[in-house]
Amino acid sequence: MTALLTRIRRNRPLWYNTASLEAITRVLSVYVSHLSLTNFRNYHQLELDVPSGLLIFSGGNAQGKSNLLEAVYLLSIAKAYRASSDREAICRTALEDPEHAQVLGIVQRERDRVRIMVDMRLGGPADENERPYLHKDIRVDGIHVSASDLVGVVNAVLFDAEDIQLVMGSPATRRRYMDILICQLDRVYLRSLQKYQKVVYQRNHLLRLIRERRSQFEELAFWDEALVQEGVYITLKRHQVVQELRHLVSNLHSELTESQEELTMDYVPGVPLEGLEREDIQRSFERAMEEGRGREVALGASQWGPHRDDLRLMVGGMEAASYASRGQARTLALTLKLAEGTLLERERGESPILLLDDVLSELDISRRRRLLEYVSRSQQAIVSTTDLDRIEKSFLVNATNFQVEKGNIKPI
Amino acid sequence: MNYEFLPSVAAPLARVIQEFHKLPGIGPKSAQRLAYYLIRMPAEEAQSLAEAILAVKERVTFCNICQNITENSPCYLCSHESRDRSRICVVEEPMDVLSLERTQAYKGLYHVLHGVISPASGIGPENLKIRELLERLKGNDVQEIILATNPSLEGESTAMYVHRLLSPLVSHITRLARGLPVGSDLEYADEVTLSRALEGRQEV
Repeated sequence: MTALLTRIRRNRPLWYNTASLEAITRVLSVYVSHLSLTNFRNYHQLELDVPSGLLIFSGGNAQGKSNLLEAVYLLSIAKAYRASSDREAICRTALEDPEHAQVLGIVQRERDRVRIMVDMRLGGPADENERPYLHKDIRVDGIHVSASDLVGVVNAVLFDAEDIQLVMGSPATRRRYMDILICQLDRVYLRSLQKYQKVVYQRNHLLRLIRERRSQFEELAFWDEALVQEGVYITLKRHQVVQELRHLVSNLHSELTESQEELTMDYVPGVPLEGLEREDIQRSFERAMEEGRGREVALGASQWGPHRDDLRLMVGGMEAASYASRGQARTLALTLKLAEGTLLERERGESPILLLDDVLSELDISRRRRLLEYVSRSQQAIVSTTDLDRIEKSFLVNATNFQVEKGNIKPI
Repeated sequence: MNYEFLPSVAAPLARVIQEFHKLPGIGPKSAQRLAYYLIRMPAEEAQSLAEAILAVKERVTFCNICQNITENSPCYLCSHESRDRSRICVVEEPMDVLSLERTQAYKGLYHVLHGVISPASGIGPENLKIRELLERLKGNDVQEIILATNPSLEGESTAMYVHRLLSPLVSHITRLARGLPVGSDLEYADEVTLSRALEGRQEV
């Protein structure tokens, strides 16, 4: 048991700075070889063996394609990505034991195989919205682990229709993209981010109390200090990761578009920076807070810090958020996600499983081909589509094809 | 769920369920269970419970020195001969005094703030028993203030506020150490705790 725990721990995310990117040359293979679903969404009972390589699941709308991809993703992050809450993941029409769902996956790794089981059960006291509490039990080879310990056992990157918001949506979605990526690389970052969010929340209330003359300016001191301390760390990390990503993103993008469009990505910090060393960032924060305090009180909200960061994406010299076409935005979003996968692969030395949930439909033929070529090189890529016609013969021949119909899956 | 509007529940029962539901940690199901248990209880036990609840409101007050909960002010600890009067340990809640007393390692006095600074909940320094602490320091020879608020964000902010206020008045202000729990394993400590423990390392 100790050996297994050590193994799980060893697979935890590496500290971002300790592993040099070039140090890991060989990528270890990881893929899901068996899935077993019970009462999960529209699957009452499913047993499915799958090989590595490119897998294509085709079928009409509402037959269970996304649900299958979601199940694989659940094994990676222990959270149902589409459901606003995990509760909806349980199939409520099940005849037996309708309050329980299970996703079990067998994952083949270079030297061993692991069995990951996520059990979900409704029960216990309801929350404030009268929805029942969902209890999740996660086991790796039969040993109970917490959701955060599961992260890193199997890496997966999911592409879905919502990704387009990375380009078209508000800066908050791009901050979330950076956060999810950095959290997987650096565990201290998550804590720092959580603390930062609490500090901003408290500080905003205090600013409003000061505006209403119910609190004194002096009470800000502690919150200023805490905001600067965490803010500097977050800014520094985001800057470093965007530096890594920039080249990846622009290379991947020219590969997907056959060098027809040039993509540049820049980190836009929420504090005007005097320089990029820790001390420069620290000084910039302190100065912004000092000079802007009056304005912050008047507005009743913290105005400077990583909660105002953005990522600026430019295609052919134009700001993508305002000028990109839908197909361009889709390509950009795919690029960002592929870059996430590549960075994780470099850092961890393991190729992530790629999950592409109906993202082919908005791409033209050549971009679709480039994308499929790219993902076919990964250890395992699971693609869902409503239309097999969209996929060229050459890919279909080398892929393993499945037909999804009403919660059943057949090989074709 | 609002039991007052459920005709199938007798009105007095509905009322007692509602009252239990207001208590911390008691959800609707627990409140029901407790209420039905009350009905089967002998009358004298119910009487004794009701009296105990009233007594705790009527007979308990706050110590005018340390602000802890007590039956007589000044409280047992503040009036005890053997306590070291040169030290005051500042805590958030009365329950923290119990925890520290259980250690039997501290012989000084306490001061209960009754909360922490939290702008989001509208609690500023003026809502805490900080003024009372300043009053206490006048004319008393206090050598050391131990800040024993929780290591949470709000606890830290409160500790820092009190520290700034008292530093001209008291020569020695200390903060509880943070680090590894006793009997634990280095392997299982999280990064933040471990780095704090490193920062606070001591000569052996």
